[in-house]
Amino acid sequence: MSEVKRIIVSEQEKKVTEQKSRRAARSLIKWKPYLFLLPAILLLGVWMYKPLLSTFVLAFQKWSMVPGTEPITVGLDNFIRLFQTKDFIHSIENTIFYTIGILPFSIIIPMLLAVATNGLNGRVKNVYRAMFFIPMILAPVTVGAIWRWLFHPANGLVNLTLQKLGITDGNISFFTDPVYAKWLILFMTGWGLIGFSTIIFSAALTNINRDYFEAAALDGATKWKQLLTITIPLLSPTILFMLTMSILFSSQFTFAYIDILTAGGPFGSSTNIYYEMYKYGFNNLNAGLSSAAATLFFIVFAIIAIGLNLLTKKFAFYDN
Amino acid sequence: MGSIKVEQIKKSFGQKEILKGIDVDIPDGSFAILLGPSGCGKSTLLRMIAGLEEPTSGSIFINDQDITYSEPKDRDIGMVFQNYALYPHMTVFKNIEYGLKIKKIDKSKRLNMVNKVIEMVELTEHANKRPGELSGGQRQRVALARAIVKRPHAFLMDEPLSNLDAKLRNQMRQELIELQKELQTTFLYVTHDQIEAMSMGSYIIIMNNGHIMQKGTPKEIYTNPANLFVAQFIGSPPTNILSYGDYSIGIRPENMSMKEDGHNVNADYILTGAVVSTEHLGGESIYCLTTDWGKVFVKGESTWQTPNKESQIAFSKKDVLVFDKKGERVRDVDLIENLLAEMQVSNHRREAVVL
Repeated sequence: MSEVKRIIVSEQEKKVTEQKSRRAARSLIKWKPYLFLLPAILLLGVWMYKPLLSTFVLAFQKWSMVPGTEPITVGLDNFIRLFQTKDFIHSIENTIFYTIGILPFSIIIPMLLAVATNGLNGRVKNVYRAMFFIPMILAPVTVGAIWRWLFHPANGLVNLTLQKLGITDGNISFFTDPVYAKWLILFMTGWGLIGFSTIIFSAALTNINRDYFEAAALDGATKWKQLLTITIPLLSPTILFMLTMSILFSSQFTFAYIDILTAGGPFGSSTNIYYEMYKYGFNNLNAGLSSAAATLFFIVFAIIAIGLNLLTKKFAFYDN
Repeated sequence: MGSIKVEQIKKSFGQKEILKGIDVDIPDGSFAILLGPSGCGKSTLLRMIAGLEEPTSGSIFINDQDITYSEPKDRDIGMVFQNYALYPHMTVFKNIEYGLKIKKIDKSKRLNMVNKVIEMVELTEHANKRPGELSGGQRQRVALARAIVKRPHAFLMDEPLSNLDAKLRNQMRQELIELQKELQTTFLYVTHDQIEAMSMGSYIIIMNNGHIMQKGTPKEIYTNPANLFVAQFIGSPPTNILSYGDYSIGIRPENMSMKEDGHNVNADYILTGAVVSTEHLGGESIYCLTTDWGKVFVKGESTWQTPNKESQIAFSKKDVLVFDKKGERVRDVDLIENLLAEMQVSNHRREAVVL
């Protein structure tokens, strides 16, 4: 009798363990996708979201980042101080200047270049693409150094040429002149960006069926009319993509050149909000002020990004 | 309305010669078909007439005006592309209006013209849709409407029905024929489909390898092929070719009959072959037989019966086409008769030749 009982009990135990392992397998299946996502979530969390949250918190605190000191909550003080700082106001103006100024380099010129070179074939096409693309892959620090030599006030090639041609009398100190500095930084950033954008536009152009242009030619449309009525509408997704990219990243793109060539000067005339943030945080060790600027930057650009997204949804035409 | 004339057109892409001296004269108001296998140069020729491609040498005339090097827009032609090439970002209405707008035709006149054409192709309720929202057949109509609205001298069509399914294709074929009658304008239509060509064209130009193989009415081309290529290209199943020495003897499947059918009272020749397969298509049956001179298809009335394995095929002298080594038609009656005699196909009626 007891033997029989023992068998029954062991059978029951077996069933229970079977059920348990089945349940475990089922829950593993349920959690599997999240396990795959975990590394990415962890990395993003540590490097993106945690610092982002810390920035929001730090924006309302005062802290010099000196070991041993603790952040003190100061409310809106940082924001108030920001708007009382002359350089910060300058930086907003310049950020707008750079953002708008970069658009011809990221959209208009590349689009025209792509259209003009669209008919090229084979090796010629590769050569021209390489030519345009090289500035993009060169390190900004290197490029900055080269441009600095070219525009050197005493022995730069540009000054020499201008004088030889009789355009100027004396040397121009390009990077310490409030007017030239800003424009030069814009020009250099744009120069680096043209290649990348041209490649993007060229790729988009090859996706447009040539039949459309032939049909338009038969309809009597000139090349210019074809550009306006067919090419541009069909490039709209790319145009809006480049617009978004260029507006959101122009501050980042200009940062390296500002740092290397002018350090924001003279008198804050070439700085942008990105550079100011960096200066407050790592030159002045004022984490609170830097974070406040970053928070403002984040909010304003998030709104712009949402706007651009809506614009893309409304105006981008996808030809399938 | 307009005539199209092409003189000694040659075209090379790099080393490769696509068109090797083409002469075509399409009379005003005809429904002309450029027919040929893919890669024969027919689309290239059409594109040159449209002005989308420049010939290496030769001249093109529309209404006796030399337009060889004119801009496409100055040729006054309407073109329908294989993939329709409708502007994907414009509505049906805008697509049709585009050409008129560029010509700066004033708005009220323009609207009137577009609406009329939209009505004509029965797309009124789709006028505000984009091409992406339309079916293949509807897109085809938009493409036609876009060409029609310009009231061109001639219409050029590059395999316009090839993207449609079989049923729709049949329907569109009829509509195109009616349209051509209504407009009374020259149509030049490119296709590789011989059935399309035979059913629509009033004038067929057959091309192969950059040469013109034959020009003529469908009847001329079918009943009197100039060469082996045309004989084999036109007709389904194609003309049976029996190889004999340097010659090829062609007889159309429907000009042959199974002796058992009893429809061959007037037959001059009888041939024996082994039946390989039989297809009963309902209205007709197609038999495939092997003979000593090659495979033969016979098309006859459907009997729903499987013929004997060893069967006899009958045909008449008048239906025999003979081609020489180069594929050119031999018209020498004596030679043909000798050839047939040599083949030991008896000239005496109803005498079976056991092969």
